[in-house]
Amino acid sequence: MEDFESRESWKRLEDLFYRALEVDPGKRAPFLDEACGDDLDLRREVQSLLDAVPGSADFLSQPVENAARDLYKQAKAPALQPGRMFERYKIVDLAGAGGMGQVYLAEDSRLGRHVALKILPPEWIGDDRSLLRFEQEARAASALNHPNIVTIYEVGEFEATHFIAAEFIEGPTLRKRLAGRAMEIGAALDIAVQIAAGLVAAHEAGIVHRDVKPENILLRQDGLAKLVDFGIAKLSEESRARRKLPVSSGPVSHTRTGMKMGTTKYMSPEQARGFEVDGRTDIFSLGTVIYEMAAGKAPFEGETDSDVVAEIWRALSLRPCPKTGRAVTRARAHCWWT
Amino acid sequence: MAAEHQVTHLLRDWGKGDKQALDQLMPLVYNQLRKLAARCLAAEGPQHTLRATALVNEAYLRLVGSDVSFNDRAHFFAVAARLLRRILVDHARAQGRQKRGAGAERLTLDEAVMVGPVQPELVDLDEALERLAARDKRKSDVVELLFFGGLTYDETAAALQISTATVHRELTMAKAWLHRELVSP
Repeated sequence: MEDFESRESWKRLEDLFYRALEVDPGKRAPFLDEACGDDLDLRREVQSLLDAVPGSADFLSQPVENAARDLYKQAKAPALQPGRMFERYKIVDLAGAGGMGQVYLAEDSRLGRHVALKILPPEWIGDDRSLLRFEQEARAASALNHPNIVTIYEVGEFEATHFIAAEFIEGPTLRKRLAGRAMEIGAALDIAVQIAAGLVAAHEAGIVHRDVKPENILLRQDGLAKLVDFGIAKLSEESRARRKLPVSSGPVSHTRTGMKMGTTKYMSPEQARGFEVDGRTDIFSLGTVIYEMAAGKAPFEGETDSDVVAEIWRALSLRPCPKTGRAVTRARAHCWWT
Repeated sequence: MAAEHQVTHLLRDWGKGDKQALDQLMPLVYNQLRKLAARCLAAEGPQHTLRATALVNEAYLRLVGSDVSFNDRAHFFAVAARLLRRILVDHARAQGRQKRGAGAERLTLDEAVMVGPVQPELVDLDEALERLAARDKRKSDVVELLFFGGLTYDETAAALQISTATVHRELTMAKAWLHRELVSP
């Protein structure tokens, strides 16, 4: 059979095909007989193409869709499999995955103890400057040794991946414990006092947590409450700023996949607006957490992050100073909680 | 160099024919996809209704950023669609090596009629698309832009500088030809 690869044959084929499609199906055969004359190969070729039209309606999207789904599923799977060695840590299981990277339960092969191995998303470490800042911050945090702060054992890099090895805590986050309900006030205060103590230690060492929220408070079986993820929020923010994505309070509904970047509900007024923060920010955030423990829901809510920010400022009767844009009654806001 | 600009540069280079640029591009897109997938894992919400191709596209777009500084947007879309096709096909090829042996047989037309519509492997589709491109590049481009690039009919028409009606027509013949190639009598 003629291959119809040459330019002219293809053009003829195409021309006939399109014209035949425009002809009434019942009248196609005579049309083709006339147009092709005694060129039987051409007749056969056009006919076979016409025959293929009905069956071909949907068949292209499926293989592409299946392949894309496969690829996506692959991407979802944790990067590190149980049993694999990551530096001197042996992966036991994936403990959790969130916007802050993946956390694995791993075994320190040298010391024989369990650790929480946090793998940082590579795109967070954008350049040498932010890397240095991260390491400084992580090192400072690792110098913290307080019962209410998750102890950091090691901050390092392995095969171009940055990681943090920390104390592994067996127990739920405060978020899980809350489960959308209020807590008994005694238990709430117990946790509050412990976290406050941790913050005192951190602030005395000059470290601001920046992301105090129920998801970052771990509750051990024996009642010990621990604060986790110091200073990492800053890294995330910087990474987003680099990529020109909304830094703090971009509305959740804007992102197509509905991702939550930043839990605005717990942010202090200055933090929510992107101003400079210090230890008082942590105190404010702790206050909102205490509120939620006692009341069963967060004090400042809204449909989008922008609504939440507006609510925070409104509820605290804050107005931005026309000159500097800073909160006019900032001191009062912090006195509210302390 | 910020990741965003890096990707745009690499795309441009690859579009100009620099094959090494592709080697650098692929891991970036894969990483982006992993990151996106991990976040969706955590969010667990509306993304379930998103089509998988849309997610691959989304990952890709987040890498490039919304500000495409290509002078020729049409060229950009063409290069992007080609990259996404490469990613999907390479991945499918790697998966296929594990699943089937060499030379899987194609169904005859009769068998196809009996078991229902055949879903061709993406690898076979890719190869058939290459053969189509040898005869008629524009039809191959239409398929690539629509199915791998995720463009709309209007966007495809604009990218190829033809009318939307022509896109539809070209697609009809392309599909018929590809279908015939993949489900041989």
